[in-house]
Amino acid sequence: MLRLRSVPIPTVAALGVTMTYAVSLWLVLLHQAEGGHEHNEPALLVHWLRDGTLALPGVVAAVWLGAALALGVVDRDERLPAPWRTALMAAGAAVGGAIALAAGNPLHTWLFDVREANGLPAGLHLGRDALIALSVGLPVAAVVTTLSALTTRPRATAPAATPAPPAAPSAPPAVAPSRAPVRAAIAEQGGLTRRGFVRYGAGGVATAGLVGTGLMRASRPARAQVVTDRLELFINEGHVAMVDGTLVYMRGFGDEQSGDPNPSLTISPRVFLADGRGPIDSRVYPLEGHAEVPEDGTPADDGVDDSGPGLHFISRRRWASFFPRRTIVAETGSTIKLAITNTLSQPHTFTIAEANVDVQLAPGERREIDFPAPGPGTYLYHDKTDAPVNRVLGLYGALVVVPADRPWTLDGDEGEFERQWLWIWADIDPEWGRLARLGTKIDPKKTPCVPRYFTINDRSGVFSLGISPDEEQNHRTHEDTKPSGHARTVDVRDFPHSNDAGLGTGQLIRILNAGVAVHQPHFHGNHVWTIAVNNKTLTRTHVEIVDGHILLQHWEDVIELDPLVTKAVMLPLKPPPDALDVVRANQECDWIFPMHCHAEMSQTAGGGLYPGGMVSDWVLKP
Amino acid sequence: MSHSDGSGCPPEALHTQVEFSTDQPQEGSPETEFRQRPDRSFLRKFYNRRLRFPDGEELEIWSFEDERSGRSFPGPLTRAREGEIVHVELKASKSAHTIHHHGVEPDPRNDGVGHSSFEVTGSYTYQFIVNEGKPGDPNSGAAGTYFYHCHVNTVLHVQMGMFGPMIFDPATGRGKAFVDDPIGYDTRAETMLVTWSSDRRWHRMSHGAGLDGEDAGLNRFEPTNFYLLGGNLDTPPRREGVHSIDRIFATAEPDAPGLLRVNNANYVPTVISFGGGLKAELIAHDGRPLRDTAVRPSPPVSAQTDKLAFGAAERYDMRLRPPRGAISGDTFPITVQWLHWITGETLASKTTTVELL
Repeated sequence: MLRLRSVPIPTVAALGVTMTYAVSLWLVLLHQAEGGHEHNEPALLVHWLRDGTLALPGVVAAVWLGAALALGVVDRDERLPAPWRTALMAAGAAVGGAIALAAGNPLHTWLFDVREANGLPAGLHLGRDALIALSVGLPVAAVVTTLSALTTRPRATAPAATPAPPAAPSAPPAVAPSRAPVRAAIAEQGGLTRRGFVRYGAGGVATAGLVGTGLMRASRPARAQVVTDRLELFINEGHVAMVDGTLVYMRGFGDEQSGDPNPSLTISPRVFLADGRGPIDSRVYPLEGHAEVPEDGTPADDGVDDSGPGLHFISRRRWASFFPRRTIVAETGSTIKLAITNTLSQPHTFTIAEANVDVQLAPGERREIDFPAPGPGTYLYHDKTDAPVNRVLGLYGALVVVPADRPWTLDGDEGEFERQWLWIWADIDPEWGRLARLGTKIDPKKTPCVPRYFTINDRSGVFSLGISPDEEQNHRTHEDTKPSGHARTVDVRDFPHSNDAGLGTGQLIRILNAGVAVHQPHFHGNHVWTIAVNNKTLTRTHVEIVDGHILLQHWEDVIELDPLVTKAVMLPLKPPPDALDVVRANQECDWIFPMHCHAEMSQTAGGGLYPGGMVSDWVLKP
Repeated sequence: MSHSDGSGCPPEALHTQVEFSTDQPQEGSPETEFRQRPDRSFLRKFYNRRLRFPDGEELEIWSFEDERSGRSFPGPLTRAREGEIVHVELKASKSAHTIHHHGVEPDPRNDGVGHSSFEVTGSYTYQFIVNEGKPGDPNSGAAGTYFYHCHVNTVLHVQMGMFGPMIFDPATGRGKAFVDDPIGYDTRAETMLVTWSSDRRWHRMSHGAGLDGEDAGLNRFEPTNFYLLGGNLDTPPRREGVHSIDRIFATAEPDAPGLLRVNNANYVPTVISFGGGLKAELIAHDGRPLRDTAVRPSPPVSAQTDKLAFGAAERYDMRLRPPRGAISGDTFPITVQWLHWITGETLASKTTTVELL
């Protein structure tokens, strides 16, 4: 109920000082106007400053106590909008301060041998002074808390830039060498909003068309937060529109404290660098200025390769990659600095098992953690409480650790790519959401998970295909989810890091199954070359078989993806090998090849609407 | 977002989900562009029929037939050699269907996916060339095991039975699994094993179930019956109806072993256990041989196991290796388990027999 940290210290200090001196001035003036006097009474200014200064410690303590009590009693779960919380804080502070100042009156009388002239009994006098203090303190407190809230607005609400045109590789870094949070030019913008949903979904559930899982973000300021040089994560809750318009209760790690109607359930991508900088707000890595940003997500070719129909040369070590929301990118050697606040009324965790990170958070608790980036790979961060319940409810994301010295490889040696992609797969069960919203403890044995929506990077169906009515979302899908490029000659034996930058290579896709079902991503158009499973780079030389699964770098057109498993595969973007040469030579337009899960239940939304689930495309440019 | 690059290519149309699901581009009988003279031609005509399964279950089945197959399930085998141009004529019989040759990688028009090309209501001839393998080259060659299936409302149509097996041989034909298969196999002991299960609730639905936004429950695949489909590939079945496996042949000859091709044609994971000392020597996955790619040329590699786990749409090729001392007539059990796609619990298991020739 009483959480002193809920009231920022600068706000407490400002409230205490202004209320003390404002109210004490008023009381001194009243005292003189009534004809009261003290033994050896000083001049007005000295009198005022003396009384105020003596009262200051007590008033500060009382103000702090009052504000925190008001917030704790009335809005323990922090569900009220920020302006209401500000008003609550002001009222609590005013009451606390008034009581302290009034209660100090008898002490004041005893200390300075005061002779009052108003003739009031002591109790009434005390009450009157308290009311006077309150009438003066309340507007003062309101002004102070409002100003304080405005000046400590969280950084996540600052406006973000639009994607900039590609910069020359030799251009200076766009990021200032500062330890403070820095916003790179390619920063995440707000995602889908309820307003957007209504616009595109107008016509009812059957014609609605977006999944906004976790993409909604508040456009209004949240309550006052202390800005730090760490990535602030807030465990939030709220309702999210599915691809068919259904609203589903979900939870998530957001980047500001915000619930319905604009819950913040995901973070914009942040980057931690080996040189100590970070978190840097950037959708691309390597950062702009260190690599070219591919327009619409597609790396440009490097000229026509006449050795076969439809072939192009491509560039190695040139292109930046876009990452989806929920991503934390960290270079090897970096320290990841987080502050996690549980805004909800039940305990949660922030867990990355492979990095030995497992933070328990009580309701309302804020914890700061620093940990070194684990080895190169793709890691799930999630809430393990009642697993898999809170993960299915949306409390998950990805930590991508990249080799600082060879950022275009998977692990420093294997998997050198033209650009890379991250796909986070998830299953959504609205019934679990409904039960969680009611506060019911979910037992997966008694209430089995029955997913009805299936997402890749928080998008389904027309959104993950990039063909929805929302062109801004489509643009993002092209940038961070839907691979695209030009056909090239590749040899899988050249996929390891090579000194010959002229060799062809493909695009690396990191696939992370944050859901509960076994998924089977199937690629049309090209087989993919599986390089790593659970961040273990597979051997190239001999077949290992573990529990019936083969471990060897090899071609697959379907990737078995168990829950919590991560795999890294190379999409070669070679000409489709079974197309006739004459057909390849006459390609004029984009060739679009689907990628979808072959556990076909995942291709549905709300029990139908095929293909409305885990589906995307990849695009071969002419 | 438009994909138009200014060269006259149409931009991708934008849709709400229900528009997209209900209004895929349909063409009656589109033309096969750059049509060539085929080396192999196949007819795949849609049929629907109530079929009786070995366990007594009767299900409405939609599948494909050709001139000789009759109304059998799975659909007839498509088999060709590397380097051959293949034509597959789909006759959709007025309802909208496609054929996606799963694992074959042609241009989008011949890939059989509605949203990246078109659905067919009349007929269309799919055309592709089977990529030719080169010894020691991990970047070429398509010899191996595949399947084909309808890609319209796929979740339903594949479960209704719209699939069939597909095999590509190296240019030399049967007897080798791929171009530089160092051992080969005894063609008498070549078997296709398709793990499949059915949810009888689904077999009462209509072609377009769920597409207009109704909750058809297609997110819930709750199989009620479990089958080992397929059969010996040396003596293709002549009879109509359900083709299920009652016996798998292998040999005791190390240099001419039996070859088992497996395909998971349902939507849940399966595990095959090989009993009695029988081992499966895995040599290929999804139509590509396993190779040592740390060296050039890259030789084939393999490994033996008594357990193979594989999920929806995956295929494996394996030599069947009986224990030392086994002789003709010996038998070994093979057990297939179907697992729940979320809980991992065993839904059912079926056992069949491997017999040495």
